[in-house]
Amino acid sequence: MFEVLKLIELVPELSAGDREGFRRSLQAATAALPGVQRPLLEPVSPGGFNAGDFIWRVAFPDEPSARRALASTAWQAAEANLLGDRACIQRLEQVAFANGTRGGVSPQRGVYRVALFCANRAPSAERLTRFAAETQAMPRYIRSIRSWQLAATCEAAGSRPWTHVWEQEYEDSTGLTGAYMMHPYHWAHIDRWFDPEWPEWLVDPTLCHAFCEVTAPVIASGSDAERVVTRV
Amino acid sequence: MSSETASLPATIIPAMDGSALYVVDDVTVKPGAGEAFLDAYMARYVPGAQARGLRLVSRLVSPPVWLQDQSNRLLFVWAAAGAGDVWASKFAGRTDPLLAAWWASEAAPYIESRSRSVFSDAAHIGALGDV
Repeated sequence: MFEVLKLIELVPELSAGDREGFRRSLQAATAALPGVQRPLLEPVSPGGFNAGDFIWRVAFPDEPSARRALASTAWQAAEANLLGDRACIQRLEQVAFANGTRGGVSPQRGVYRVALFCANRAPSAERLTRFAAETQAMPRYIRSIRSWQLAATCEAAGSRPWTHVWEQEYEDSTGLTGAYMMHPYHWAHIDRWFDPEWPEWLVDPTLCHAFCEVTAPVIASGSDAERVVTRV
Repeated sequence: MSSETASLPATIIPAMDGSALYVVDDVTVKPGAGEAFLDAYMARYVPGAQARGLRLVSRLVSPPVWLQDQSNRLLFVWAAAGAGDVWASKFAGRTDPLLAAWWASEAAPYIESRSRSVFSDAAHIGALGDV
């Protein structure tokens, strides 16, 4: 699996009509990508930070098929016209990633959340391995996480050279704003990688946290999810 | 006021309630640096941490003598009323360059090793995870 994600922030002055026009045009261009799987383009819900206005995400069976699709003449034109328009785009955070570690089963509808991290504080191999293992263990303790994926990026652009993509799906937003945020595994354990006061500090304080409502599985579904289930 | 002569600095509020969470700085200082580090911590770190909503409830020194050619170990125990207060203190400090500079530049010359941990009473573990 090869996946590409963008957090898109439009210029504030853009009218509601222009925003809707942008969304429809990007949605049509995305749906036309050859071989695209589980395309997502949704407005972000309030409460994120560095989230932008829209979450755009696409998946492909593998990297070659992704490269072919994203190099297609139609997509190149659409990307230049829509995402390359500086009069329209305020900010873009972009990542591509392949074969992340994932688990759980996506709900048929609910809330999708993505965080982009830049692990740039003494990122030794040992520390990165431990950070990843502890992050992947979050769903064992925080039961509101229905599906999840942690991936290292192979491409990144935007405010930081993003190194990690951490995605989850929930039945509803309380699973994220309640259980995920308030569980002690989060604030008393995993957060030491993010807190400049802890000796373990690893992740740049500038990160992206965005979520949106979805009406179809995003991270994993059906048999491909069941193959990677690691919940206990 | 020197920490040597202070019986109970006004910045320390005794624990007397049901505070559920304790953030503990466990610092082993370089030989002979114990008292100087305590003074620096109290003067340069404590006011900011209090402004971020934490309460200093104890500062423990082992062994209870300022060693000159060996290392003291100091435990600073901070109390927070709950997870919301822990997050609030974290978010208040996360983007403060002075706080990062305290640990990286001001405190580092005194410190041989340190850790930070968050504790609760064992009786509260079930409730804390039931979210």
